[in-house]
Amino acid sequence: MPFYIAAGGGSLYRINTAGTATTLTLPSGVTIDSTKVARMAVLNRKVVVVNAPNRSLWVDNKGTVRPLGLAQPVSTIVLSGTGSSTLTGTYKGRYSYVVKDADTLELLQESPMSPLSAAATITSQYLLASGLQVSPDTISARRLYRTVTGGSATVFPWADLDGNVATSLADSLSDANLSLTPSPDELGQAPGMQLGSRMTLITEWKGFLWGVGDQDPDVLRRSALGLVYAWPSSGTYNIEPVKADQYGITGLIRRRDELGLCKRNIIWKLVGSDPDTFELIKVRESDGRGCYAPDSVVVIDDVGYFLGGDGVYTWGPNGVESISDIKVRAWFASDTYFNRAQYANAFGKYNSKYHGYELHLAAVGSSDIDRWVFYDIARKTWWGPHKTDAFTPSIASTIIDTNGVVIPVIGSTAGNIWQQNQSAFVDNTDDIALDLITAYHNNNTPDIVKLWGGFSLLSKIETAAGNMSVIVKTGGLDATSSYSLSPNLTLGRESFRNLGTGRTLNLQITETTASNGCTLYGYEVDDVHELGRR
Amino acid sequence: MAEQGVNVTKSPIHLDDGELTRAQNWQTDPALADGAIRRRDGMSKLNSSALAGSVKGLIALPLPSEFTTTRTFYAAIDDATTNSWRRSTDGATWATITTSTLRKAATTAHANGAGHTWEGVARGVVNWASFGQKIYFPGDDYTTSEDGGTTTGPTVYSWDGTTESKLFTVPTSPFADDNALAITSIIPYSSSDLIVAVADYNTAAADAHTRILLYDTVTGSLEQVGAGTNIVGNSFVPYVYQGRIWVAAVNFEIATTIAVMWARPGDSTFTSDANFEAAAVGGISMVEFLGSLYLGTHSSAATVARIRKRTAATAAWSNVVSTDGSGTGQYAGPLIVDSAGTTLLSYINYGNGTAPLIRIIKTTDGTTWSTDLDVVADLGAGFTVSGFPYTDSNGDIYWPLRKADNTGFIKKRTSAGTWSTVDTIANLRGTMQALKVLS
Repeated sequence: MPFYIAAGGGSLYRINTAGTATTLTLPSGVTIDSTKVARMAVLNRKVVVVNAPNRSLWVDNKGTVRPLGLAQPVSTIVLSGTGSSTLTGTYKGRYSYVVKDADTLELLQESPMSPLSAAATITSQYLLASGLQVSPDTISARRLYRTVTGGSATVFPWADLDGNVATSLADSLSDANLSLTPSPDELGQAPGMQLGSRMTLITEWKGFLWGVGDQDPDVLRRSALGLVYAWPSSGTYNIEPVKADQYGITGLIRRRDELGLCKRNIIWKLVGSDPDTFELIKVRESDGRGCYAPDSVVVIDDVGYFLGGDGVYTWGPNGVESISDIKVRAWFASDTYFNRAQYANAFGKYNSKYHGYELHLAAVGSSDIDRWVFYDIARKTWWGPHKTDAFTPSIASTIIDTNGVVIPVIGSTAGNIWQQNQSAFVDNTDDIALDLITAYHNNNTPDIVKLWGGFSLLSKIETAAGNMSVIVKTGGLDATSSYSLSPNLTLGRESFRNLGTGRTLNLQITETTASNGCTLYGYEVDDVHELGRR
Repeated sequence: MAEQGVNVTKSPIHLDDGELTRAQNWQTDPALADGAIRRRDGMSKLNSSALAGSVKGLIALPLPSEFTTTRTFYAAIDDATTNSWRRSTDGATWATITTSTLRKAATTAHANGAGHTWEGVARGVVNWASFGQKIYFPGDDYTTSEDGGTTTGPTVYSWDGTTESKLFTVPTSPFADDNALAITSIIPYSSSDLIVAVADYNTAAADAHTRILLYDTVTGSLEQVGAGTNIVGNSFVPYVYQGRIWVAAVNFEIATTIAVMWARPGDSTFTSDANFEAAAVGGISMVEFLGSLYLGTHSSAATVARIRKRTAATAAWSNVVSTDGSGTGQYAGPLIVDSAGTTLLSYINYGNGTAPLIRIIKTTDGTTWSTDLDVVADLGAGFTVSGFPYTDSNGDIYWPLRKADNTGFIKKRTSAGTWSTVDTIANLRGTMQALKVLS
């Protein structure tokens, strides 16, 4: 049965498909900033949560929340000989903190290692590792590694000192019995793990996690393959230009074979399949036409969609293309429709039922993300801006219901998750206010006054008459005088008298009846007679 | 009617008839009415009870949720009837299920002769795994030399609350001249592997042996750990400590001392750690506490039982508890650490020494011990043996006991340290398991 992880009001929740939310217990000292977006990714059944927590987290499918990284042992162990045993040689060692599953003993997490200790020479003794530090985190054991005798730096798994209390371990494991597998070489802290910092972006690609920290926003980091907790220093990629703006990397686009790395003015991609083959390639450099909104990034059919400074762009097999310039550039490149200062907070999602990209934005004068537009991918048409009176959107995402159907959802500032694509034409109890403005019909003679004849409206027969209003304006583009028609939606077809005279005809159609459908098949204006220039 | 959607780029007089300048809450409907436009679909709340504040993140996982599991306790019954297990969903109300529901776990009757696996008091102190939404247990569908007739190898079964599945039959040991006598313990080693401890017997040499098998629950593969070592004696409860599999084997029949050794999967042999105690004393339980390893011992003879400690910092063994009686059947164990990891508890039979004769003792430092439960005062006089206890997720410990008259009890210790009897049933064997399945 699917389930959901949500962040709201400074807490993390597990939510089942029925919508029942259970608060998850956060690790000691971890808080969640209720004003920041909690960005999440999944790797190996583990949900990683960043940006909102003051320490990045991961959640397992039992609901246990752990810090993404364990604190690292600061000091070395001290090696010496003790007692009488079988070991003779010169050794160095390291150790780490580990967390194991209490039921299965599976290794869940390992911290970066301590520094390499000084060498100790013993003769027919136990090798004593002392001075192990107690972890400030909840751990299962300290994991010790040591060299073979005379070894310089390569360490091998040696033994676990179980628990988080004892500080010394004596053991005489021979070199021959050391594990042949060298110590893990990809341990390391994720970006933003130091106190006072945070990881801002996260995604999964090719079995690795990829993240950006707020302290180095131009630097992309990756995890070890399949491991949420191990972020090797070797997995560091500078995304040029470095320190050229305050935003750094503003979007991660995970396509099938390419990871897009967006800044506001430049887009790079990472290609390859493993750390040996990963390679950065510049895709596009164009001021203001990179990504402005990290949460606007959505990948649909291996094409990335995102909000730039002046429109919506796609990045796919054909490169980077604007999908808004031709029809709705004014939406995004002017101050008429949306509050451009809120672009960084815009968010998007995929509505699979209608195969469209939905982008949420703030209306002009609003600091809330209270409007959204819909891009019909198949028809390349734009719809909206939409709004609801039921709530103020805060995030967008998708859920999976019990039948496996993906449903787009919108989070609200009031703490609810709203499911879209519902059959009832109502947002809970609030009506869905329709507002449509047609073209300025001019019969291809915009400078000639005409008589606009009889008007008829074809609609689906609904159960209620509704309160549709067709506001008629005839005249020039500045025509203000108007009147309204009131079609009855139970009729299916309704005709009206001549609409009047004027150079152009413009209609505005509104309807606000809750729970009532409203489908228009078309309208006709017949008997258009040109009256001549006036 | 408006198939071209919104266009706010063209001048008003250049707009085509199918274009709009605003389409608030209108949408096309390619599935039902292509070419028309209609009111957009409505929205409904997923969570009728709001989160504590603004929703700032959400991700859906098409994965089985293990957030909520139903836990059911199982305790094996050890007799010749069709009663197979005691079962409870709440730890308070228990019922007997029969073989028509779930087969019997291997009874001790297969191997309780002199020198054999279950001689004396050891029969209850084995540990069977609850692992991956199943419990794993040895089946009763095998025969040994004590059963008469043709012997067959012990079997391992799993049970998911609905279906039992036979997983494998233990193959013969190169160090024994017949099929194995019993499976003692089945404990987890990793996310997919179980350790299966097998008791073998060489009739000709009259000595017992142990094999540690590693069973992969995903692939079904079975391999012997440290196969090059002939572990002489039985190891009732192997234990994973310091990332290694530890055994403390004893052979009552040929009177060897405890041989403590360890190995890891992939090791060709076991590494000896220590040999100690008097002859015919066995280790019956091990546990890690505060970083050190503790071992409880038992003898079928009139020998002092101890709790011994292997200090991590020195790798040296020392006695931390000794019984003070002189009778037979003194033993210490099983040992268990509470869920907080701060208290170590052990069952202990002091023989006929200082009262209380039989207790559950505890320590918070490994050095100073006190009585947590006076078993004699609680259940009455009479020799009592312990089964392997279970720590519930809420910190409660369920501890099975069985008196000499075969009356079995399940004691419950709350996380606050309060004891009560939650079940009384004849012929309780004792190891406790808790099946956790998704709910």
